[in-house]
Amino acid sequence: MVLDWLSTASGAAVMGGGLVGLSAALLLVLTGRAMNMSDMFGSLLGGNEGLAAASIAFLAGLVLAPTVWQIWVPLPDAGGGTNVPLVLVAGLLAGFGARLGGTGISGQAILGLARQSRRALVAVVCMILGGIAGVVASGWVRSSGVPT
Amino acid sequence: MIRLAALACGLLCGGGLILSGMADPARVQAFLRPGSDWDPSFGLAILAAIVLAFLGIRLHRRLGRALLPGPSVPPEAEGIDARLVAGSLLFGLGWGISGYSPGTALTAVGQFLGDGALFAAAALVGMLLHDLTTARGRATMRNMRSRG
Repeated sequence: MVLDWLSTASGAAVMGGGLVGLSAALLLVLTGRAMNMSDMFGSLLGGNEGLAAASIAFLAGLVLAPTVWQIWVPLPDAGGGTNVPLVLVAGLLAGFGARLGGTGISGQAILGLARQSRRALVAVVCMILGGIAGVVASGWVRSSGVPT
Repeated sequence: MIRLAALACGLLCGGGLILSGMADPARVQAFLRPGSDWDPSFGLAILAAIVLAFLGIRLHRRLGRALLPGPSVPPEAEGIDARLVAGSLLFGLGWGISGYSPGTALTAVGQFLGDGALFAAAALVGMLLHDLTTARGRATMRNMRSRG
């Protein structure tokens, strides 16, 4: 029964989410750092050298993960249908917003909520509201036949 | 040592993102899109991650310091202000439009997906735009340069 459940989308989501949380816990206990991936990503632009080196090592782990993990876990099919202008606009907005608010999904929705931080709760609510608007808007753009 | 630990945590986190489906833009958008075909699995994954992160935070507090020696880590930002709200809304907009965040864009880069690389590049430009166009961002850049 348990194994059946684990093979479902919900089971895999809970298992995989647990691994992400375990990674955040290990990073904190071992190095004292918060797993805020958007913030770590920003350190590619420079910043405190001692802190940036570990952030960049973490990011390298993210990039290498699919290669290592497909030894055990087959990679899911990549979704097709890239819309270049939409992805570019999305990246610009997310990058600007992450820097403006010192915000990001992993830092706020995982570690922030685990710390029971009110700041994180506000950030998560705003990110979800923005996310709903974004997904609805991208649906309109795609269905209105803007070239992809 | 810190870099090695961070690399290992990044690998674990990337694996968790892939296994859970959090790395799949379509799954993220299915969580954010209102309607009858709402897919809660992204939320389940985040909940599982919060539980493990919470345990990590408890252990870190009990230990009183990081297990590995390294540069001190600045405390998490607290307080709620307009920048947090605006930044999180903008971040969420980009997240919803594309289904990517900086962390999952990097696992997509590791799967040789063009839109992941596109999102990551655009997010870096967005961060740079923030630093160039806001007084606070310009001050951060000056500090970086003066620190070398």
